[in-house]
Amino acid sequence: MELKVEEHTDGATIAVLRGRFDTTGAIAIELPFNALASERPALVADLSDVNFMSSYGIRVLLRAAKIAKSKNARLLIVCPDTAVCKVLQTAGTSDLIPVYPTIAAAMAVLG
Amino acid sequence: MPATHTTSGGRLVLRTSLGEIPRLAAWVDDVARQTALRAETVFAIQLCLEEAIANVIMYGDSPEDSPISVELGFGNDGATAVIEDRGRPFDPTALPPRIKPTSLDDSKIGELGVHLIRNYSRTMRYQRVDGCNRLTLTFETTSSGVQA
Repeated sequence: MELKVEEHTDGATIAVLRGRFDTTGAIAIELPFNALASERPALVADLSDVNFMSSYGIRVLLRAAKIAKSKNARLLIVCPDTAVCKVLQTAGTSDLIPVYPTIAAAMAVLG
Repeated sequence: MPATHTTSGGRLVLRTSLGEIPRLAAWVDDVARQTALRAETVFAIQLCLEEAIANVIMYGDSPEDSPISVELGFGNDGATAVIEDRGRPFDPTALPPRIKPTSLDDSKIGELGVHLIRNYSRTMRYQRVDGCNRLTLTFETTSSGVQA
């Protein structure tokens, strides 16, 4: 799994994730992703190019959201209506972390 | 292999190591290509097998050289996966239904794997046989099977 970081001029950071967000993929990006959640005031996790999601991936997202909340920061998820989005809904994650279908929609919320 | 199977998708033996997860995913993809399953069904099988096997690897207390076997079979009534391991006894069917968290603070890091298996498989059956955990999962092959 790949993690690419894009900094936006308005202060938001986009973590672009690509590949399988399965157990091994999630373990590979967990530390740098948590560091982003800890350091950035607004982090958008872009799952548009993620083609698989398991519970360990959800665990990473929930932990990062808790880290961000503890720092008075925000974590948003971008996930189009795909099988991955359906996993987030089934797990109830989309009730706990805001999910938007596009980057533009997420950025609009961040203002 | 259960008598209801009409076609064998084959058998894979994994070591008790997270490094085996990519091999599991590639194997399911290969089987899916040979059987022309719908993408939703392949996703459900991938997800449930990963959840069940990652759980065995991380919490089963087995040595790394202890094998985990996975069999896939296909019949008119759907797909069947049988997972066997020699880890400590663990019956996922005995776990109570997950209580949906109402806030981020209430959410637990964990407990999700079995919840996902319950939602993405049609049935889940557990047996303890000759010192092995045997988990049998069935899947719809004509619809997504997702009950969420």
